[in-house]
Amino acid sequence: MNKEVISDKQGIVLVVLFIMGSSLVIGGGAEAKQDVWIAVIVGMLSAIPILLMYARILYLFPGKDMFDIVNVIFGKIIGKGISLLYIWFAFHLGVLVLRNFGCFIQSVGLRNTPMIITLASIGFLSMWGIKEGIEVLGRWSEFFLPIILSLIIITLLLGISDMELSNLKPVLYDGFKPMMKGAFSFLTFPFAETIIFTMIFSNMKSKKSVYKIYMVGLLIGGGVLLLITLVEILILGSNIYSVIYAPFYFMVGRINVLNFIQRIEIIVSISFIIGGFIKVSVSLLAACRGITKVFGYKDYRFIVVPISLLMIILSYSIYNNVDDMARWAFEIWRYYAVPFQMILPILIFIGAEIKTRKNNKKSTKI
Amino acid sequence: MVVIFVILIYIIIGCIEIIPMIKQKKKRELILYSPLFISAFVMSVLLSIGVKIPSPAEPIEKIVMTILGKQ
Repeated sequence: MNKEVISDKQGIVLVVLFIMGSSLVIGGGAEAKQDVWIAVIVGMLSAIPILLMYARILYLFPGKDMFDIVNVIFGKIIGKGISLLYIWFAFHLGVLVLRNFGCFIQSVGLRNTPMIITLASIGFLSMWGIKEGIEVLGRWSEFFLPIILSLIIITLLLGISDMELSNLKPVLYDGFKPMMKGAFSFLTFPFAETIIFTMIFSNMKSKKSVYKIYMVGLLIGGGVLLLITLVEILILGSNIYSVIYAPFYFMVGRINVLNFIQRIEIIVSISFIIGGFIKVSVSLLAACRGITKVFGYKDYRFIVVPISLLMIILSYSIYNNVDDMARWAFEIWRYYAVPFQMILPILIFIGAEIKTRKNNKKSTKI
Repeated sequence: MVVIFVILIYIIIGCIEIIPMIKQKKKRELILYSPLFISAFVMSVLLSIGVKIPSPAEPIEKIVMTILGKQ
């Protein structure tokens, strides 16, 4: 039942949509001011070794995902403990993305609709998507990624007449420190969240394709993010960028070509809905797979419905208002995510290297 | 009013999901499924009658802040 093979292209597309997902709308790294675009580049460069580490962990144990790997390395009891931590992380990430989604829709579109309606609609869609399996998600995103990319590029091109190069100056006026803080925020918010993929990629076309998926996905996703942040700063300026909740949406609202093409914000909403749907589904899939693996079941599908119901309920009740959410996403999340994204993977990586070396020695002796 | 709607939705989901499981005699699946489903049901009923469910955001924030030493 679990032999679902996804091709390299589908994997790359999933990673790209996952990275673009919610970071497209909620611009992070506001403390870097006019140097946010440098912060994106630095964040991307520092994400490369971390993502290589994730890929290496998967590469050393072909055909296994994170939950199997920790069981092999640390034994059953500690392995299950680490698995539980990662299940919580995946579940919580899904909750947060779903909440971002609800807040976004409520603040820009459906003002008087109760938030639970939006949350439940997206939640039910993700539930359905996962019940069909990861292959379907891969094919779905393969179809939608070109559409989003072309929509975004057309939008950015339409905004050229509103850009002001002086918004980028002075470069690095406050020194490196705020810029590095912004880079750290970008590293933990979209880029290193791809740790979730170590929990769902277990069957690839070939052994090496993990590296390709992670690196190409990071480059394309990060490239799009860089382009969008750069244009946001060019059009809005750093002061507005740091104040508003959805800078991309606000920026697109300013575009006005010959009084004819204007108010094209719906493009942003479409791309966010597509990216956010993939992000929620991937996190939900990771959580469901983890729970069934920890309790020793073979198939994850039967548990999807209660878990996604719990996810919808929690995302409805987790924050009181938008400010709470923004503060959490920008101030707490970056520190909260470090143990899951860096410390635990480093431990697992060291364990994996030692384990495979030992196994190699044994096999050569025999 | 909302409570009735929520209960109705859960009954529909239960009919679609649980009855086939009982028919196929998947006991092990039911053992994991039912507690999760019941807790989801209880939480949604509580939410719909206006009880505030404690959110995990605040304790996590406190833990992170004490580890960082920021208060």
